Amino acid sequence: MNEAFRLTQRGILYVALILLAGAFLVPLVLIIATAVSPENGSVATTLVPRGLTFDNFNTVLHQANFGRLALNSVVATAASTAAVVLIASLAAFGLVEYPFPGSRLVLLFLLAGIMLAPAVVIAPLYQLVISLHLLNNYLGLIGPYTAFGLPVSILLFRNAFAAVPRELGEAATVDGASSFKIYWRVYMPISRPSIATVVILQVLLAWNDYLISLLVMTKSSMQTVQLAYTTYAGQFYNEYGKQFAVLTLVMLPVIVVFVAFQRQFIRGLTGGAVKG
Amino acid sequence: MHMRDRAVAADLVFEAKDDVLGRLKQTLARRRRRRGSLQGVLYVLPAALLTAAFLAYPVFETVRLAFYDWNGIDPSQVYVGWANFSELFNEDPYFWQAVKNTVLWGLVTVPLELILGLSLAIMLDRKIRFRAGFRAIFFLPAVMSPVVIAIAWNTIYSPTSGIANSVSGFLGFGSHIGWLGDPRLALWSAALASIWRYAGLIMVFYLAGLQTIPASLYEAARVDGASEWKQIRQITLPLLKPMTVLLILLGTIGAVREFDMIWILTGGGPAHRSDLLSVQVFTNAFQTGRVGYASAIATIMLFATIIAAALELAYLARVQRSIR
Repeated sequence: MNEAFRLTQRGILYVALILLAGAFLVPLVLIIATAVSPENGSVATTLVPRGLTFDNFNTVLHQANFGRLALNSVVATAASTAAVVLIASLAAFGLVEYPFPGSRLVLLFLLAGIMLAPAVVIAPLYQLVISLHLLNNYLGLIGPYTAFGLPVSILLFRNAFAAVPRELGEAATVDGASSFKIYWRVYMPISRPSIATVVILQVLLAWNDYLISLLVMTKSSMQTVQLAYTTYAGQFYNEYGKQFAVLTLVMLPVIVVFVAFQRQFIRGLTGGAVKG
Repeated sequence: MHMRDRAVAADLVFEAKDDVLGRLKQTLARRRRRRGSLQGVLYVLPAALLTAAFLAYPVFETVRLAFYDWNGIDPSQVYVGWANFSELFNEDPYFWQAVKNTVLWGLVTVPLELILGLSLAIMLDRKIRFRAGFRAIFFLPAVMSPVVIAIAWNTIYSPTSGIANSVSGFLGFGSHIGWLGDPRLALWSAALASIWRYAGLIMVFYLAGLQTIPASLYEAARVDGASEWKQIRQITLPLLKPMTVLLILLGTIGAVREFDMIWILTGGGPAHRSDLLSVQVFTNAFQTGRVGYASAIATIMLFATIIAAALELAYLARVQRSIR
């Protein structure tokens, strides 16, 4: 193939990628550009900043109960993430290391939730939260978040643990290690990449949740950060600058976590799919 | 797992014949398996209890409540037999609208996400500049929350100042299109946002799939003078088929799961024209106080997902067998 043809081909590839990337970035740029622009009436969204100001962020951070909502989200996210990592890895360890009669059925039961649409269970789940007196209680979020996160997490841990050579556990047993020690000192440290993937998936699930927090947190001071924008959105008016400042703050932690752990996250996420 | 156990056990039996250490290992393994049956249950218990309480019990409740009339508040639940289902099938045009929308949503968004995701993956599988940056940009929507996405797209689709209308005006399609207000358009406008949201995720899975194709296949094809397009058609696509089937399965489940984004973006409107089944479950259960009726819709969603997933899993198994 001649050189000119290859160069043209490469040029087309770059142009296509740059155009697509530009189109993909539109919503993100729109949010950030509007958030840093000075507020000027209600028709105010923009792709090009009309200036550079942090007034909107200042207002949002000081005026409303944004700090409180952020705290609520941090608590629910951190607690459910810790719970999912621990509970899912323990279950996977039990199933891989000590299979018992019917353990395959139990695995199936634990994984079936992957297919479950939240809408299918949401009404009884809401009733359950009410009857447990968990409305406006952090546990009302942590319980459902943990349960919804378990199926995928158990799958990821099970695949990771099944790849751990059995001899490692056996050697530790000969050395007199208890089974919990084998879990904690052998299986968990080896599976760090899977732990990272589970953590990120669970942080995304909990931090980005809308439906459960909308139903469970009826008091405005208990709502999560995803509902913070409603302060600046009304039927007949929109304070876009402040609203988008809220959205920027809501996105920021997730994007930072994603950029920091991108490689590990993507490898962990797709690992099981490639093995088939 | 089963195979593994048997292999390990056979190993142990073989070694034990002439080897004291082997015999020790064997007894240890046997003892551990016996003790293990209780221990295994203990380790699984917390996960099983949580799953039972927050997932399995609500599923059973949904199916049970589908046969009741209940407003969600009164203590009394009235058994009505199949009445909810017969009302859905015979008297509720909005239900059929939502069935149609949900099926169309899956049939349109999943293939387009796959085509876009695969194209991105093939372009970004080459050694090019800023590859990591491009990948991150395309994947970014997958980590953004549905609230952020819906609000951003809502302003993009604004009839007065939205970017969508600027673009369509520039292209000569008119700049006064009601992207979310026009009943014929609302579902498709939301679908476009959904494709944008998930294409990068599909790309990442296809990129992982592409890593498993040996480079020697492409080299051989190039030696034979096969064009790039031919290489894609005859090497890349067939070898990615298991991944494609898996992604169709995940996409189908995702289409049934879709709720938050479309709820904030259109609320199912105008006039139920962008209702998905999940939206009708929500409005019936939490806005009009018809929990039994909502449960009937949810029950139909449940069984539709199970059937679709079973068919796709069976197909996936066949595809994987045919490749080996």
